[in-house]
Amino acid sequence: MLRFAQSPSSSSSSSVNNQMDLSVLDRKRAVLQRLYRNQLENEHLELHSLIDRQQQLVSSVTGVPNIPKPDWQCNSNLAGNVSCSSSPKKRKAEFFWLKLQFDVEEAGEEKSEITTTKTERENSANTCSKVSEVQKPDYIHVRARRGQATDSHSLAERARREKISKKMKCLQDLVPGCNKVTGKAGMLDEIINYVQSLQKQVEFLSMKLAHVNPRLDFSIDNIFAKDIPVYIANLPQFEASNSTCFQYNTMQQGTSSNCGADIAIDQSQMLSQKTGPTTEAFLDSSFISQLQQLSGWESDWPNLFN
Amino acid sequence: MCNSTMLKQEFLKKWIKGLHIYNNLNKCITISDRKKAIKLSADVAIASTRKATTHWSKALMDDVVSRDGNNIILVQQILGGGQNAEKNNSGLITCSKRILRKSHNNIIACRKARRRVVPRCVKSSSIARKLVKNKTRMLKSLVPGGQKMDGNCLIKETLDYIVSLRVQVDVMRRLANAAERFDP
Repeated sequence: MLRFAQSPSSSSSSSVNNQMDLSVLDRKRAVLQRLYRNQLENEHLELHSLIDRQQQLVSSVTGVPNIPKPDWQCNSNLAGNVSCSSSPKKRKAEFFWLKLQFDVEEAGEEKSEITTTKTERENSANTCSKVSEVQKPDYIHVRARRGQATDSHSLAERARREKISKKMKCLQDLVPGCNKVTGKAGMLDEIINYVQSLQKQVEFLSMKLAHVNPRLDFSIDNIFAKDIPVYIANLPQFEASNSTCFQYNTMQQGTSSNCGADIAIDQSQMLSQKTGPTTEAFLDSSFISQLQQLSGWESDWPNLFN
Repeated sequence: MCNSTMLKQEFLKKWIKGLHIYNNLNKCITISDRKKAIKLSADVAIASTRKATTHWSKALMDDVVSRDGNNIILVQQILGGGQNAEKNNSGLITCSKRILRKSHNNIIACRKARRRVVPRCVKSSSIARKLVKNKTRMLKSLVPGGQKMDGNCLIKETLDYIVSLRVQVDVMRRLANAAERFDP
């Protein structure tokens, strides 16, 4: 049922023979430590290979600088289906399970040993979770908890529920105010409120934009020429450069769109040189030049549609 | 961090492009027209940033296209003409068939159960399950294309949808603030 790679078992059996004179507990401890070390090494290798992907995923998912650690581990599940235990304690408890299996199957224990292992199992029953994904990609080894049903349907059901709960944890980190609520219903409530509030914000902001620019006519030159440099001026570091924008404003009324755009580029370059890159400014000079090109050849579209 | 910045840039570019196209198609005179145009192009832009990899973005595009036939031009332009803006429901269909089958079985079971006399015992677990069911139904109504998703898929889609909504709100708010400051 529970399969192990060949090397640990052979090495540990030889060491078991050497340690015949040691007490039972010492033997157990040695095996446990060896297993723990092996598993840690494997996990580290896998984790290192996944770290870049995870960081990208995390940054794209949260968009927020502070990312708590459980989120990273949860996102590893989203990305690569590698499950890592959430704490060393849990990992140790899992290895109690692994070690127990190994002992019972391989060494042919006496009864006293079995009773001692049983007590250990009882102690760790509360913290023990099912053993998942032992380095073999084709099978998911699942062990039922003590006192749980063992048929495949309920195991699959439990696996599905665990998946859902992991994703709910990710959502918990994303939605503000979800940490205080426990349980599915409360968290769903928070999520619903948050999504509703975001959607209402979008509506309100689009209404505001429609109000604020009555003479806008959504011509890209107007949007671009007026708002983007002002946006740059809006950033906290750029407070001093408001005067230049006003100057530009007076100039813009008499100039053609291309001319205005050139001035905008100069403005943005000047402003960016002043204070350097900021985390909030996603409008840097290269992006603005791209928008420039957009406005340039966008004027040809009406001919295509007519 | 870099990823979210790129996402915001992409969204802003597509949004402005969409606004321009829409303006060429339909002249917007009243405030409500303008608001509709802004929101429409914003929705299409944020959905196109996902490049049809998620269900909600596909459902949003389909919704936009079905609302008004002219919008298909807008959608095609923003998508770059590489992908077709028509209903591309293959993934959704497989997802939904499973759900339809399950829900059909549920309906039949419910009908059978209703005929039997159901004893009235108020269990806390059943109340909790009912609550969760109601809330899941509400969430499905909020997320575009949510009706055809099961629980696992719904949570994944909600996660992605929340991220995109945040990007959208952020960019729109900054633009609105800038415009307001410039023209109070």
